[in-house]
Amino acid sequence: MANAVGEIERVERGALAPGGGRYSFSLKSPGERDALNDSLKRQGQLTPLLVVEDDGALTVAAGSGRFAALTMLGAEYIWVRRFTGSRKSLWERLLDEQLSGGGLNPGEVALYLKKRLADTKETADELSLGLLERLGLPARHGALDDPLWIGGLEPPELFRYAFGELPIKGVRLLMKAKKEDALAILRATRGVRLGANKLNEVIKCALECAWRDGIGVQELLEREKLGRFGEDGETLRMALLKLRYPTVSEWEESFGVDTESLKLPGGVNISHTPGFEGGKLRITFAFPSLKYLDDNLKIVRDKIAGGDFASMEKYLG
Amino acid sequence: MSAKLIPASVVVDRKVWEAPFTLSLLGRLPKNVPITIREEGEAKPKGKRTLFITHEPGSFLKACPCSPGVVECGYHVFTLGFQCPYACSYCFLRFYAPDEPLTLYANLDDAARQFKDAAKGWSQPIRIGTGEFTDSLALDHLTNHSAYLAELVRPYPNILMEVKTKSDNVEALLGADPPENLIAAWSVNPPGFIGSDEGGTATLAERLHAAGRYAKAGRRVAFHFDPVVMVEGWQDEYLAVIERIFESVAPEAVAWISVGTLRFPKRFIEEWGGKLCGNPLFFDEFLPSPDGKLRYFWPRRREIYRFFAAKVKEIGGIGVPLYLCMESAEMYSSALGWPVEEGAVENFLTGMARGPLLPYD
Repeated sequence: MANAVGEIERVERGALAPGGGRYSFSLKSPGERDALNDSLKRQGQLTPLLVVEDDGALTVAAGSGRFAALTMLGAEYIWVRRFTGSRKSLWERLLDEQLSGGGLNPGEVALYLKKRLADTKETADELSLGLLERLGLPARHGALDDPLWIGGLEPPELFRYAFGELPIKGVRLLMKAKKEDALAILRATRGVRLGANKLNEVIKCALECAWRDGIGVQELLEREKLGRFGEDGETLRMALLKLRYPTVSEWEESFGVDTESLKLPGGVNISHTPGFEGGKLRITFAFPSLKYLDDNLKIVRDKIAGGDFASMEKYLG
Repeated sequence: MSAKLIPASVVVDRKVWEAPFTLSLLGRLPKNVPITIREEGEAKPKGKRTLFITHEPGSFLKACPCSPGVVECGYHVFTLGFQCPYACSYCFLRFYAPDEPLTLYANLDDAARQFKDAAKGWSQPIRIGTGEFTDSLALDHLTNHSAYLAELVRPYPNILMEVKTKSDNVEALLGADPPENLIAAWSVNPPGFIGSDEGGTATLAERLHAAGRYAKAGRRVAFHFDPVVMVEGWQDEYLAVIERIFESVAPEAVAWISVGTLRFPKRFIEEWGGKLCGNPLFFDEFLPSPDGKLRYFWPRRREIYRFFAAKVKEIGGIGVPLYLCMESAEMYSSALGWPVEEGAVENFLTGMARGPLLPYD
């Protein structure tokens, strides 16, 4: 493969065509891009770009980020090396170059596979198990399912995945769903602020509501007017929970109202088990002194004796 | 009577090719079913239309794999085969063993030896069943397991052997002169649900007709409402089933009735959810129980159990033992008013404890 790469040469910037759309699988964060720009500004171009001839045009295969930065900095000439080998060996070379700069994130693995298969016309089964291992995947062809799915995501979602904004469990749930359902959820949750567990809950509820009703997720979101919550992920989550578990939500709400109406003294709380399972309630007393505890116990006893706790019967047994 | 099941093909392990069970089964098989011998080291066949006859190197008899935190009923499982020929939408085998062939173990002498060894240690009554990992009677016209079991348990009247089925395949069983401790049990559900979600099984009418025949022969039967599903109008639907049971068999012939609501592991929905799209049954309000399984919301489950306890008592009388399958002590107490202690359900069902332990006296 070494013979397929020519000597370093200097070419006019205008003679080069960008090839990022076809060859680049690098997903750099804004901070990494800024650091690259700074480095080029201070030290100039230290590494030649790898270029290939595509339909007569000299196209940048490796170094699209640097090419963009050098263009922005107004460079007139750019150092390159020409690659003249086969398409498969080009993609091996591109992977070598990327790995020499560190590992690939999951989004980059996904993009590499997607773009390589599109360019070389190989099928996933034809890829060697050694290549899968170099990509950090288990050495079996089934391991390609996830990255190929991720590689098919639209750019904002691909970046969310690559930079760890999508929880792994959530992605697993989405990958088992139809692609249009997964994309509908991902679009609806763009920009929402939710922790991993809550985002998983949103994904799960949206899918299960749609499956229950035998419709697509997009149709569900439109029917329930759940498409436009902006960054308010919590409201979206609550709305979906109510839709998925109407009776449970009703119980949760009525429990909140009923306990509030007991007007218990400070430090005294009543709670239920998850899902009201077991038909038991818990009452807790926080107390700074024994007298405080004694007073509150008396208040609670009086309320029970006076029938104030009748509303709690529903949740017991 | 429903059609008798015939496998599409049979694969026999070389090791059991000449076992009496194998020869006997192959002798009952229609001539047009292809038979293949599997040599040692060859891949195991896949798919439930293939009957795979093999050797069980391990234990045939085990305590029923209950669930953590639920009340145990003292049941034991005697596993003569694995995988079910039917296609019930809710079956745990779909989740745990989707590609397993219909497996039958040919070394029944080993099974009998293990059974007899265990029986020596059981002086008290005990319940054992063969229908945990397969349907006990669906292939009985080929396996003749019923005759084998009849002879096996005949000398042990304290052992209540239960064959559990969704078929009406009782010819071989009735022909085996079953002892009184060989109990035939049917899983039952409303006819509409059987039609939609229990593919390939006998209809409710066929099952109850078979149960009636077994009861008429002076033997005891059992029924399992498991899983109970909250289909629309479930009270009316299940009430009709309870009524039909007691129209088909006398209450005295009923050894026990179990009730268990639909439940499944969390991963079931993650794995199968998309494929079950449009079947609201699986997307009801299920919540995780302490054992990690998803079950109906507590108050709704409690309502189901109270309903069954009341209706079985009303129609069948208090002499019909009813118990809950895979439920907590809290649920026993709350739904049945029965604060169960360890061993109470087992003693109740084997007839060792009556009266004070009857939950709905």
